[in-house]
Amino acid sequence: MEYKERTAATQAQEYIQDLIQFRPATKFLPSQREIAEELGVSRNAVLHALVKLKNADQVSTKERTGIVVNTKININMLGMESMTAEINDRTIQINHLTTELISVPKNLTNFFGPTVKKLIKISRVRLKNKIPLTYETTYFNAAKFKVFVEIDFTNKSLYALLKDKYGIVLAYGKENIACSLANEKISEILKVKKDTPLYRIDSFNYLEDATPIEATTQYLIGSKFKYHFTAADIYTYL
Amino acid sequence: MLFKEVHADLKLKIKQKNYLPGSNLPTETELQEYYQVSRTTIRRAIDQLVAENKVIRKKGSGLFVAPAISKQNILEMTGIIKQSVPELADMIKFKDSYLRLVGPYYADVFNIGANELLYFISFVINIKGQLTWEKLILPLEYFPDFDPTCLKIMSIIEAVNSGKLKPKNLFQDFQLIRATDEIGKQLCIQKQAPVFKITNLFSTKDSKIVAVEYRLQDALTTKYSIDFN
Repeated sequence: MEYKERTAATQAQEYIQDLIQFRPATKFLPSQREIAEELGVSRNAVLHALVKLKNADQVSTKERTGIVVNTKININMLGMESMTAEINDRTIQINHLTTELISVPKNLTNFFGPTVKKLIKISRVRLKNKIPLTYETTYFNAAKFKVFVEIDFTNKSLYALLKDKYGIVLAYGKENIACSLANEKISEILKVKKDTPLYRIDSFNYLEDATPIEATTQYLIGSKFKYHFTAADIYTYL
Repeated sequence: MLFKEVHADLKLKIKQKNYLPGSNLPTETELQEYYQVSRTTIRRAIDQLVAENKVIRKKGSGLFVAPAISKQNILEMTGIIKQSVPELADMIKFKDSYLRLVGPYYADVFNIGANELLYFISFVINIKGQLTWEKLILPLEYFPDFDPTCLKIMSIIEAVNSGKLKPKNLFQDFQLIRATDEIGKQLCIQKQAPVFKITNLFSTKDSKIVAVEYRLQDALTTKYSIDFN
């Protein structure tokens, strides 16, 4: 196989990535000029590297402050915990927007089954330092969870309430991860530009006896979150 | 020589790893010369090996020894996270494969010297029009005779298991990013369009990372699903 030199832009990109990932003590990244001098590459190469890192929201560049490292909220993909437990950050606020009584929307008839006629739809926003992070709508069978209509879910975990009030612990579920662009309504709620990329997470959760309990759609601002999981012994499945 | 004897001999050679999983078999013409039999005999023997999933016949690329792990297995196993289109890769197009210096970043990732060498292999998989851009980074030291053509029929998860160190665990990082010019070009999407970027780190039982895989997909047409228990 042939040998190739790394391009100047790749060198710059990997140099910055190394600082971010392996030298977390580096509070302030060197300036573009310093990076160029350190590596003996052109300013243009450094700029090119920064475009890549900015597209991945790893850094942002600000006038005067220079290159700033962005930290994303890191969620365990396999955790069946509530979003509140997953984020595990006490500075995050939950704002309860609305509770509505609605007919079962088409995309949920399969999940709730033909006998369920009305759903309770709870819409909430999670914020950190008053900046919105996620917009979530959760659906319950209205006949079963009537009380929910009267509850103010501000700063309350839905899962904790299910457990405390009904003794319900969800046993298993399914989650779909996709991407959608913020429409007008969501961009207003999340205070982002229209068409901002969002994770769209649809989850469907059941009791041990396969009773459907809750369906949720979450929109997470793409630049502020990442997911991860660890799988052990991957080859023993084979 | 009967086709059964040719079949048995090839099967034995595969079993004894004279031909390694994922590697090219000699062509039918070469086999014909070697066994001194007719083309029909070779073809019957190969047909049977194909039927037994021992050999893969790939149009334009010839015969391959079947990988021990089928792609289907992997999709089932990765019940961890599976794509909604569980189709097998039918087209793979190599974009790059070369050796490069490890450099400071991958020196820290792999915990090896910055002046050693890495394979950098990049290819685009087309599954029914859905494009995935894969980049695979392997230290030369762990994969002294890695042949990228094995990726035509072998999944990455199996390919990274073919080196000197045996991976055991997988750490996956999943992010939503925006397409650079280059990503846009490879995935045939607009610049700045949303892209799912998956980083897979394969590590041994001693937590030594043996391979890094980056997978990029058009986020607006890709859906993942996860089952929880």
